[in-house]
Amino acid sequence: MASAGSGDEKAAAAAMITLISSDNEKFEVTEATATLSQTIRHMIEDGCTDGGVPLPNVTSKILARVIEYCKKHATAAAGEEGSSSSFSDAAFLEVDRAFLEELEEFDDAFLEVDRATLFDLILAANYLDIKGLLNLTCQKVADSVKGKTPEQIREMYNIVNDLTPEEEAEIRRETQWAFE
Amino acid sequence: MAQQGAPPPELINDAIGEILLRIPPDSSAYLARASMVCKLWRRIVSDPDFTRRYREFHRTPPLLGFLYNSEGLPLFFPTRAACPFPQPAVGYSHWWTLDFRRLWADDCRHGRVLLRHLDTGKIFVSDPFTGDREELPNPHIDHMFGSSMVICAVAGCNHCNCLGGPFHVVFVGSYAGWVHGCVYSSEARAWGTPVSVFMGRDWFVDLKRGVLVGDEAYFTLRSGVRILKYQLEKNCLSAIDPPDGYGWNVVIVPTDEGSLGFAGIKSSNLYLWSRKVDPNGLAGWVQYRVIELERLLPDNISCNRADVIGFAEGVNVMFVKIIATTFMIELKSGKVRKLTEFGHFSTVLPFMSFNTPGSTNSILPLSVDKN
Repeated sequence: MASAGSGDEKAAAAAMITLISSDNEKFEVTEATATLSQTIRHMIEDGCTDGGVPLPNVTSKILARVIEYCKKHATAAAGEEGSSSSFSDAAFLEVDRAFLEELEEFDDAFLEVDRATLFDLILAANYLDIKGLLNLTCQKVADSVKGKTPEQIREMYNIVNDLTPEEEAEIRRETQWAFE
Repeated sequence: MAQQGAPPPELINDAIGEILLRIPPDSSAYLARASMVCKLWRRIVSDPDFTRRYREFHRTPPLLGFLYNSEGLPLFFPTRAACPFPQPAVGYSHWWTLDFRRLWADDCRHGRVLLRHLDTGKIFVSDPFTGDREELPNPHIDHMFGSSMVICAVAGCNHCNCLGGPFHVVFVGSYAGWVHGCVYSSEARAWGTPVSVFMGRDWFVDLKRGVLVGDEAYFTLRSGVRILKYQLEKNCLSAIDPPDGYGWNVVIVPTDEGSLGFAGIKSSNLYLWSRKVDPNGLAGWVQYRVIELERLLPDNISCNRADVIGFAEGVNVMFVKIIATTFMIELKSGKVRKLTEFGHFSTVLPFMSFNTPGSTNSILPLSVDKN
């Protein structure tokens, strides 16, 4: 977690927050990085972050990835703010576009994980209320469901079919058009 | 999907909900299939709260197909493979009936379908998914020709979840040179004060879908030769002239900027116009796009007999017919799809609606018999 952009450094001087994973590992992050999570933002606002923020639903492995995402996106946000006054419009647009492209590449690479990790990231993003990460990860799974039969979806995500044959028949009757 | 030492089930429920929420509505057949994965997925997809959120999340409902009137029987033509309406027992293999016997479909909007009975003149507003329908009292307006429009009655509504809520019906009819209009309120269960304007002999209201722009409803007159403007708040009727030279080969449309638009075909080209007000306060037509149909449509098809027959607002799809071949053109992307080579539609009513499994009883028929 060492790398940091200029925006990050500025914020680092202001405040650091300690996040504690379910397996008791501690992560020091800047407030700018941490507050991408609405859950943590509210805790900071309520002054409940002294001595660290315990996150009993997030393992260290997943928390490290989440922090990686937040750092990148917090840096991008800070970079955008910093650059808005010091460039001409055209140059600003150019920088803006480069930022977005870089961010998109980062997001694509970030999603190159196995399905179990992807689902754990969704759980963490939902619990921590990180809108961008939740959207990114959920969309990836939603896209993978498209064009699949129920059987294929169950197989992909290791889901047990607990519907009774009667329930299955009922759903099939209701949504027959979707199976034709 | 869950692992050992899994997080609490409510977290998992939320997360699955977030995933299913992002299945795009243009492939909502996949959402229906997802409901068959397991009990949990089924429960989430069927939850009315999920349905509400799903609509809010996606905003623009998908285009499912269009209705057209065929000798007292509105028929539904699906524009996508998975069609949520049942196949008729008898008929063409890819045509779907809504079983509205002796009914004429005037309008589709925000998931509602507005029907008029050909014999009695009675008006019905229906939800074709649930089969719910409401019969309106007779507007008691003298007319030979008429058209009507169903609109949401909630101010500032985003129309994601207003199906089943209060609505207004705008009716306009013509007889002996007069054009009359009045507006029905579902809350008051009554028609408002009728308003009339004398247009002169030979003027009649077209049996075509109208357009709502802000507080103004527009309909075409005498095959598109003039446009009737109904200011609903003021309860005032007037007429405006369309751009010159298109004859009857026109449709009126709402534009993205929230003004009245006009589409007409001339010499194999589709022209798009928008009604604008100049700095002096004078309203006039501004042409903003020309689409060369022969360059756009496939198979070197000759377009000198092309007709514009409908427009799906929100998704910006124009329907164009050449003799019996119907195409849909996505105006933003320029993507074209041939729908059928066997359709003599003079006008089509695009039907756009979310069809999430939890929101429907899913199977019609909606039949209005006798009366």
